[in-house]
Amino acid sequence: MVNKGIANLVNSLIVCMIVFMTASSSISYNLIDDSLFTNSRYGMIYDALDTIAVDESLSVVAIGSSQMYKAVNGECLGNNSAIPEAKFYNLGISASRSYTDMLMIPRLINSNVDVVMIEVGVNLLFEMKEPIKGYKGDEYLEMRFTIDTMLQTDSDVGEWVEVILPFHDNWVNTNEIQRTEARQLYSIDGMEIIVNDLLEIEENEAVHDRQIPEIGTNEWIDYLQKPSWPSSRFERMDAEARQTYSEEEMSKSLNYHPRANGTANHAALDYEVSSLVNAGIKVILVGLPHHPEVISMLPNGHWDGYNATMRELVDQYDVEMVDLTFSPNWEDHHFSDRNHLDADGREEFCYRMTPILDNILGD
Amino acid sequence: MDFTSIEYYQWFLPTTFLLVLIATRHSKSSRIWILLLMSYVFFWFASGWHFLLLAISTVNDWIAGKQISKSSNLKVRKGWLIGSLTINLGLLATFKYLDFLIETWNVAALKFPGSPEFTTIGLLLPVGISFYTFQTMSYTIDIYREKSEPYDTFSKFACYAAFFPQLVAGPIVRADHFREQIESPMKISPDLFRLGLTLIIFGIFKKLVIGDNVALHVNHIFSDGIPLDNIILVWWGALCFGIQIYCDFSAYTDIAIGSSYLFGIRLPENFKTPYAACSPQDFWRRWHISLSTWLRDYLYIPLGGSRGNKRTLLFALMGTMLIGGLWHGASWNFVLWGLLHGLLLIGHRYFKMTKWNIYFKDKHRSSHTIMAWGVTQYFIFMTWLVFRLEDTGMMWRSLKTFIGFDADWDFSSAWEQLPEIKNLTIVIVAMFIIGHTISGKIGGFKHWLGKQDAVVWGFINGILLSALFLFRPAETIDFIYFRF
Repeated sequence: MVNKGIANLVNSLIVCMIVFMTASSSISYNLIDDSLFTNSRYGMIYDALDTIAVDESLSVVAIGSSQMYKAVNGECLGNNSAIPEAKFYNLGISASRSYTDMLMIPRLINSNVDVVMIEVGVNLLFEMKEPIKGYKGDEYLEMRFTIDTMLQTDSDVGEWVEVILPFHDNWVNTNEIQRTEARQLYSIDGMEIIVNDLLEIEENEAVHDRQIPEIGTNEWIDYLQKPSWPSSRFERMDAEARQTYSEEEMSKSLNYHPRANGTANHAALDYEVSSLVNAGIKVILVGLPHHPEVISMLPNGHWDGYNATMRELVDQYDVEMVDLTFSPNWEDHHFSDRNHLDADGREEFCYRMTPILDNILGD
Repeated sequence: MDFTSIEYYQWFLPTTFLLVLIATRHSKSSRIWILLLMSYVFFWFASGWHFLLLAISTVNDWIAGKQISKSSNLKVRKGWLIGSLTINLGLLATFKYLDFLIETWNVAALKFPGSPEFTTIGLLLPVGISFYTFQTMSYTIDIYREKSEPYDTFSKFACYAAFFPQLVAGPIVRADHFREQIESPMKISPDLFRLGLTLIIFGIFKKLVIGDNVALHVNHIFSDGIPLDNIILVWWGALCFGIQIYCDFSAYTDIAIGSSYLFGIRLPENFKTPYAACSPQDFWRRWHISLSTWLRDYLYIPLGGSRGNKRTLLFALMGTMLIGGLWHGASWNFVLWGLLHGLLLIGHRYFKMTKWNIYFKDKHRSSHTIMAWGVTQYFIFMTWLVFRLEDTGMMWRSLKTFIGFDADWDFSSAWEQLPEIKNLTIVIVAMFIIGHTISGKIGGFKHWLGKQDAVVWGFINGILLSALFLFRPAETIDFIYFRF
């Protein structure tokens, strides 16, 4: 009798575990459509790299912050390049930096890219401090780490894990269980969408409304090279607003105090460059321009940390460096605001970069 | 640590189970000592140093019970009883009601200039104090009434007072029932173990998937800035809160009973599909049964019950419900909640005797049942507003709206006020209503499930666990009855 009871208990538990494992994983993956996370620029990286991987032409990928995003026009670079089979992709993301971009390095290496342009900016070389107890911390990093690592597979986990600061560890999913758990947080939203679809309620429009083109379409390929950019901020300002901006906003760039070394951002940058170089991918470090008014008010040596970082990486890894931060002839009409280029600026960037890129690709 | 914390399932319950399993092979007393020790470990993690209050209460009732039993002198017996009750109620009054009394005094003092004002002490409410105090009090009272014998060993009594599954939020177990369980040859049977697991899984599902999801709507609707003059919104809020509190509290009981089953101990049921009740009296036979029977035996009957005249009956009913309300928390809300339930019980007593009701019941039994159910539940859910809303202004506004006074019926405005996740919650509420109805018909879903073969049992529990994994909200809400 007892043996029969034990057998029944064991069988019940086995069936329960099989159903649980099957149902939870299959429902989870059907319930949580990746489009929940990949319908905006913040979640497009892995789809973009998978697209680039199947492109057999020479490929140049630009990664970095909104400065890179607003500087690179892949279509212009392609049109001006002397190498017709080269394609130029812009994967710059607002507020991104090496510390967030490093997560894509293993996938980038596997994507058969030929050249990677990495942004090294005066605003990206700061030290991150542990948030004071009771404060939430960096919500942007939480969002980026959570989404990126949730969309990864085991092959995307690399040595970048060691660069992650201990107080950011909770946001990083490095195995399938953690990734499933992270996705679980969105299953209620996913279920709400399914219920809305079943009931034919129109509230899903906002969720389904993609900020970027459908993956695999021609628009998608074009978008990776030439994303949509907002109009120039300066052009939207009248003379008075522009004057106020010059007086109040330009000097904010002086708040950047780039460190020469020792921060997690430096460690991430070092990881990016070394991994790519070791994988035989050519790397160009790019410092992007700032408005001439900013440069004119810059105290001597204020951004030396940036110069030192660039020099150190060039010396150590023998990579190319294009310093547009301190290069002359950038004019007001090139800028959308104090540190982002507008359409004119992109064109100027394109003309300046094409020969350098052609040179490297030609090698 | 509580029944939704990972630690409980990760180490506490398995460790306790293994220790009890090993001890069962040796002797009954070692098993009791292990349960006692682990109960205090649990209480330490749940409530810290407050375990001392439990220890004081235990020693107090152990000594009082022994002394009452030993003496045949009524005066001595009464003296020990009063002493024991004074200590028990004194601890309860100090830790639960003292600040409430001071605040009430201070508010009253405003009306009488020159009256002294006192500063509140700010004592933390010890977890489970209302539950274990009532439990140990019933032990001493039963011995005094010669309805029960004292426990033969201190360890058994201490285990009864502190048994961790029911310690924090019930059910309130009677001493004889628990004695029967631990004195019978305790067997950890596979069937009982499986039933225990069923109750635990079902309980966590109810709490996290149903209770916590509808709680998001409740917390949103009854937060500052949401206009409570929309009748649809207030009805929805009351419905959601009724479901939340049931799924929250009955889930705790399910997990408590399920955990006990793992050790071969059966605890009494605390809920029997309360929202199927067709009268207020019926509701109290189905809701928090261990408290309502406690109040009946130790308050309602001693106050005269239904044996005396009408005035005695009214006094007993109202007195019981007022104290029952106050038992829930040190706030006038709970007194008012008790008062409303007292009025409902009294109103029902009179209404059911009316000729019209008797005629209608005889001639149209089904319609009478449906109408009785509808009216009962309407008032029950209305009283939940008093239970939920501490802010007096919001409470009166929502009560007025609930009965349609000065309220608007704008559906689209109510819809806009709901949180982002709307339709899923509506589906959950609909499924709860269907499930509650079916559960009532089959004598409890969890018991039905516990009897199924391995495939059905495994399949349904696997689905419940998957739903639990996928549909629990990001933040777990504390058990409501932990506050009591």
